[in-house]
Amino acid sequence: MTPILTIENLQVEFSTPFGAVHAIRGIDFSLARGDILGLVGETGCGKSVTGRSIMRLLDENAKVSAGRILFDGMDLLQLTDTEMRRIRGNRIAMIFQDPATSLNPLFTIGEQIKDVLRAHRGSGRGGAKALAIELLADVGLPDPAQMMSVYPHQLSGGQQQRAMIALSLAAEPDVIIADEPTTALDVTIQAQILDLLRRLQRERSISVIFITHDLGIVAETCQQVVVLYAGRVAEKGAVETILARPQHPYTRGLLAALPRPGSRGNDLRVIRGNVPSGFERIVGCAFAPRCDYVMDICRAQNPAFSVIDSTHHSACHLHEMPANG
Amino acid sequence: MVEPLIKVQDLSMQFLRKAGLFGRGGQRVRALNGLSLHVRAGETLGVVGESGCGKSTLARCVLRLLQPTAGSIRFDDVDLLALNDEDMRRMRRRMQLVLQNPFSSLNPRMNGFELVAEPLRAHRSMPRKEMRDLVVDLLTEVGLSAEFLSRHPHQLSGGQAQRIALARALALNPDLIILDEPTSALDVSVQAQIINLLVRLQRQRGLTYLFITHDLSVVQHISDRIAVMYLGKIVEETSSEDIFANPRHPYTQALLSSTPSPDPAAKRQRIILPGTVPSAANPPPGCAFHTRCPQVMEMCRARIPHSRLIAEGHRVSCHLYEASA
Amino acid sequence: MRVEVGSTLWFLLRDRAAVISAGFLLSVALAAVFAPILTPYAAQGMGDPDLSRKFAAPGIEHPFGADGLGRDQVARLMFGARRSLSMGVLVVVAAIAVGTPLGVVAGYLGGWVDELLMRVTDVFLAFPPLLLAIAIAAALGASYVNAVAAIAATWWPWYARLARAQTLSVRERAYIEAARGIGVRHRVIMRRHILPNILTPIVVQGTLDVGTAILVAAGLSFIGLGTQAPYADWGVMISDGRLYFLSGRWWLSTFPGLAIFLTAMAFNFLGDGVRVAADPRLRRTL
Repeated sequence: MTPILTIENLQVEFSTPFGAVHAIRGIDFSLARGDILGLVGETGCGKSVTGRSIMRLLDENAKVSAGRILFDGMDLLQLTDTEMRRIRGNRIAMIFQDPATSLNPLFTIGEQIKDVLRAHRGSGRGGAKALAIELLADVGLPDPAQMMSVYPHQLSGGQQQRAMIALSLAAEPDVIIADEPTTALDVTIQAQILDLLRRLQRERSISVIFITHDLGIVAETCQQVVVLYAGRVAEKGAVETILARPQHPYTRGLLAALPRPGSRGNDLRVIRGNVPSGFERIVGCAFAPRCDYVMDICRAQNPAFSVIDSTHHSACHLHEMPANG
Repeated sequence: MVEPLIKVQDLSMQFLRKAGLFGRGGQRVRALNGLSLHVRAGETLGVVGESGCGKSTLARCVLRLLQPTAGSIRFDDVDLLALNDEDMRRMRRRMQLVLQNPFSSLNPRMNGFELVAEPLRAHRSMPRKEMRDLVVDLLTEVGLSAEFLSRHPHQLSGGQAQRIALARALALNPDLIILDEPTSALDVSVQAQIINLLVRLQRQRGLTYLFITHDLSVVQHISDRIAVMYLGKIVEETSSEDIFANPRHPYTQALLSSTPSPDPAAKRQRIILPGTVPSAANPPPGCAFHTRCPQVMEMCRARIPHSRLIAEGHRVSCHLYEASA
Repeated sequence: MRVEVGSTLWFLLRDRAAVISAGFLLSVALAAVFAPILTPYAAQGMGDPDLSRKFAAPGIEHPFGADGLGRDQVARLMFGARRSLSMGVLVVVAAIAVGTPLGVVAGYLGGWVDELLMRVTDVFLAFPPLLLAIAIAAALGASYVNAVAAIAATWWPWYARLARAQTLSVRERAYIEAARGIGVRHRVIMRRHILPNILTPIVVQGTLDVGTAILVAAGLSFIGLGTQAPYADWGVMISDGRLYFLSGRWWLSTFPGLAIFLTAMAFNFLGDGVRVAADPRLRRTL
């Protein structure tokens, strides 16, 4: 099956008073139709910048210095602003961490959804209303008919995020990019939203890029996962295999660092040192300075992807060594 | 049995939230609602709850940064609420507070030396040379070198900044440290470093921790006992092992099942609570949890459940366990 | 802090109006400081008459002409700048020195202290500042120092208000709570935590205000309540020259007027530039 969205060698830089920041240093991955793909990594790994690059919503001081973003046979980076505007919201929608700032406070939830329905589906007045109520019911908002006339600030955080999801579904987009959509929510509310996303995936077979820092969320929601480190992909593949048998030392370290039931009394595994700053020029593997298995080649040469199995790729020189070596 | 270092009884805290333009006839917000707990010297009590449950208010009341409306707080058998301002200020050298986000809890204009020396200056007078040596010792103890003396918060990573905050808290050699979400703003790999550091410091210095967080997996790793809070009350309190093996309160059970686990083998049954936490300005009658409880009974809507000891060291406030007794 | 100042400067240098203004102000200040070396008419600048050049028109010898006592206008302007500039700066410094601590105390402690201070500032702010300054200067007696004191007395309430408003927002920051939790005394919190974190907006406001203060000081001198003869500032020069304006000696009032106008404007551009450059949210507008 051809992927719906493919990112090839994406590189993004920001210019700042103190020099260029390399936010993304070359990322490759693709999103299959009907999948939820988790884009995970720690602060500064470039996960949010990747999401914004796809939407072409980067700040003015950002520059895509290389790469392609292929969507439905087009390179999104080559489109004119007008063409991109037609894609945005219509065919690729975005959900943000803070729904309160991405819903318009001056219009009711109903008006905002009806606007999208009219613009994108050409629904008539009555049709739009019925469809909007249906959507609100679909995302699990209580009393959807009444929700139509409610303003965003009258909703709780979880309800706002549901409304935001309804809004992004209104245009029936091919891809939804969700940037930490549950980070601002409490765990019991987060559980509700994750449950909703799983149901929507079953019922509507939506394709989602789920940006998060939480490997637990990835385990419970995603089929594919891409682990980012310092603007590069460390490891990618199917969630069950990567979380059960991580190959890249960074992914392993990340999983071992998590406290779990029964870990009390023992020290947690620690990844020593710090994430490299975006100002640094990186020669070789970005993880080399923190890696327990570092070899000479790691400091000289950026590792290519090794195929662990057909659904599992890891960028580490260790995989190139003979098994007994 | 050791006499508790800190003993909180029937603590209530009500805020008057001003309503409308002229601020008359405001609402009473019951942040704490007759809460009792104790922490023994040398142990860690974890307090878990979602936003708005009053856990941060609890921390501030114990330090008397907020004046509770009713109840008593005894610290080493001294009634804190009876102290005058100056005596309370002196008492604070024995109890310290570490907050969630080090970048907002450290004054951006102060350097490492000034930050760590601040508590020393507030409570002791010593020659500058001696103070410098002491600060360097403290930095070393939290894993930082003397070069951090001259660094300002914006030149630090999240983990380094939180280490500075810890060095500050240790400066006066306190008995109790109240940790309010100390790792929630940190990345996973850094979180593990700070947790290990906290455990080591406790062992070496015999510290007592009151550890407040929303993250069950972190809190079970570090705590001896865990108290679960909901709407200004503790609904369940037991040992750290017990909370995972044998949760009794329906809220605790839901909280555990809502916490995403990165372990792909752990496909548990999900309990997804409906609705959201009710407003503390208008808490429901009877058991505050009855509006979301999957096991609600008739009496829960009318009667407030009492805290009841159901096993050695295991307390629950739920009618389910009153009925059986 | 270092980086903060650095980046502010980086953005400030991208603001052309601010850079030109800073350059202009710097050259005015240098001209004032080095006036005795820069002009051959230093004695006239300080007030000595030279009747042989009475009312000399602008020309090669005297680019801005000479006044009724034959004093070179360029020299007079350079020496006048010493007083005009220093009055503007001193007024603002004095007003900040008085207003800021009061505002910080009121904002941090709240309660009756706050109430009292705000009512006092209300009284001051109820009068038009220039009128109040004239009244105070007249009561104190006409002199350079009294004029500065009089203007500063009308100005401090603005800084008290600004400092109080800033304090109210900084007071809610987590590091204030953290300091209280440690047991730091209130006055130390105000001095070490609040004050350094509210200085930026106050410095910006101060820069914007120097221009206006020069204007008001010139106003007092104009009506004889400021700098006294034989010394001159720009306000005195306009006042002295205004009688001859209609009789064709236009240069006497025009050049000091221009000096005041340009200096006040330059301070405004510079202050505005600093305001934008120091605020990451506004930097995008550059």
